[in-house]
Parts: sequence; structure tokens; C-alpha cells
Amino acid sequence: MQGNVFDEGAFFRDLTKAGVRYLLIGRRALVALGAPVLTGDYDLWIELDDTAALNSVASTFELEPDYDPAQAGRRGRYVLEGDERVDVMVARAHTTPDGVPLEFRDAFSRKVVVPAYGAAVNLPCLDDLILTKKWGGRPKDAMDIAFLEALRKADR
Amino acid sequence: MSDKRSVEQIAYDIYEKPLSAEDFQRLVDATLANEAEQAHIAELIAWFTRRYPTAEARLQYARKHTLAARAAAAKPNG
Repeated sequence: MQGNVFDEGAFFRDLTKAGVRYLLIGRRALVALGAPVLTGDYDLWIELDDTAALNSVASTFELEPDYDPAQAGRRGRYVLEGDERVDVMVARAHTTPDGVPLEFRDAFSRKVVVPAYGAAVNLPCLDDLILTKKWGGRPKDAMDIAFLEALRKADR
Repeated sequence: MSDKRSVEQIAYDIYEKPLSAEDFQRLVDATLANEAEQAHIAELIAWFTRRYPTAEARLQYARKHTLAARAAAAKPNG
């Protein structure tokens, strides 16, 4: 069996070097903040205009997009696949089922930067990460919100 | 009466099946109001952040476990 060619640290470092405006969302963001939850993939929300730059970085890790940037822009999301799976959201904004909108540029301006692997890993602030968890509306998202609220309490 | 759903379907229904906005908010509220659940979550966070005090260590922990789970799943009869 071949080894996994994906180097998580190098991936985040290269995203930073390439100037990709991204936010790590999903459960891996919870892990980075301190919640011991399981996840098998990566979820990124990026600036639509940076799609080609992200794909260029991803190609060096043998991750290939399932849609080209124009198609991805129309769909609002796409997937980078290889040894890892990266779900990429490129929509400029998204709204929770109960009607709360969140624009990427606003979330990016409020981002929390955590150091890891010699890179700056961008996470949404807690309130914005909670909004992103409402998008899915799944039972596991409700549990994730409970973890995020507990992290907020622990941080006080 | 036995449950005819596959294990995968049961797991999907429990964890992944999207809820209506109202049902989702009810579940969030119920989870946040459950003091025992909240105490357990707080203990888990305290352990995890003590054992893995940096974001990098926590990300490495998650990656290690993801790769181990994949390796186990790839084994014959695994």
C-alpha cells in the first residue's frame, strides 16, 4: 500500500504562502480549538476569487478538483480529492435555515488565527463557526454547537 | 419488531440526517440545557486541551486517528 502523500502542515503553510483567503471550518476547526471530535475530511470556506490559487496548492499534494473554478463558482462548492478529501465552499455568502446570513468577507475579517506547523491557520470566530454549524442542521452539528459553547465558557 | 435498517443507515439517521430548523434548534437547546451533558463536554475539553495544549498538537492527534481508522478499515475483515 502506498503512503499518504498529504502533509497537513505543508498544506497550511503553502496556503498561507500562496495568499489564499480561507477559513478552516467543520469539525477540524473544532479540533484546533480544543474539542475532541472525530472527522475524516477537511472543510474550507474560501474567497471565490482564490479558487485557482487553492487548486494550484492542492495539486502539489495530488488533490484534484471535481469541478473547474467556473463550475465550482456556480455550484457554490466543490471537492478536492486524493489521499485526502477537502470539501471547499466558495459561495460568497450562506444563510442558516432560520434566516441568519453570513458573508465570507465578513467572517474572514473576524477570523481567529492560530499558529500551527509554522503557518497561520485561519478559523472563523466562535460566533461565526456556530453559524456555519447551523447550515447543516444535523444532529451532530447540534452536538458540535454544544462543544463550541463549552469552549466559549472555558475561555472566559 | 426488529430494525431492518443497515448499521450505516442507523448511524446516518442518528448523526447525519438533516433536521428542520425548528427541530434542530430544539435539539441544540435541549443539549445546552442538559447539565450532565455539559459537564461531560467540559471534562472532555479540559482533558483534550491539557493533553494537547496547542492547535498543532490537536490537529496532529486528529490526523493520526484518521489515518489509523483508515488503515483498520482497509485491512481484510477490518
